[in-house]
Amino acid sequence: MLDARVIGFGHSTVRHASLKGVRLALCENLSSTGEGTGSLFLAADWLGAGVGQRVFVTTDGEAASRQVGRSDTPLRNVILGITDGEEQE
Amino acid sequence: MKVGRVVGRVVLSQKIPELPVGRWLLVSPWGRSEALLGDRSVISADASPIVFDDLGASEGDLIGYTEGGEATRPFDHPVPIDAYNCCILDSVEILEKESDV
Repeated sequence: MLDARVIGFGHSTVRHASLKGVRLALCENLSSTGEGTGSLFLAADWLGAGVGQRVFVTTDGEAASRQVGRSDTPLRNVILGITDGEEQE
Repeated sequence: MKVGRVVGRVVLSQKIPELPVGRWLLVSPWGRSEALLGDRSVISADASPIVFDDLGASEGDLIGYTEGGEATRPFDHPVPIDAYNCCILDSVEILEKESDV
């Protein structure tokens, strides 16, 4: 599970067949203090996350393949939820 | 899926039969600093993975690639592949700023 922030979107025409119609959100990993670490990744987004929103992302290919409905997908990152806020003790 | 720029190609003269037929790309990982710099010739200080490609990406292209076990999922038999090219990115928009690939 990753804590990340959506900073943009990737657009592509040529992609693996299992990724047709999938919205690719460009996310930045966040540190424990909530600051961006500078490392970026693309995550499939079915929730409609917007730029600047903090998201909760899985790195499980098994879960990703169930979402896509194909076992041959190379997809790994899927946005599972949009974070409202975080409590720290 | 990570983002990277294709900075070169790897050509094999001999290979084990388990390796599928395709192209091998040398990819420089793309982070926030590379994205904001906007300079295509900059190569990341991080290690450059070699990515299997069957989509036809060429040098200079920005791609999305998967690393790890998911890289072998598109194949119906076990393959010794670490990184797989999932998509060739036409453009990436970061916040309000549109950066051309």
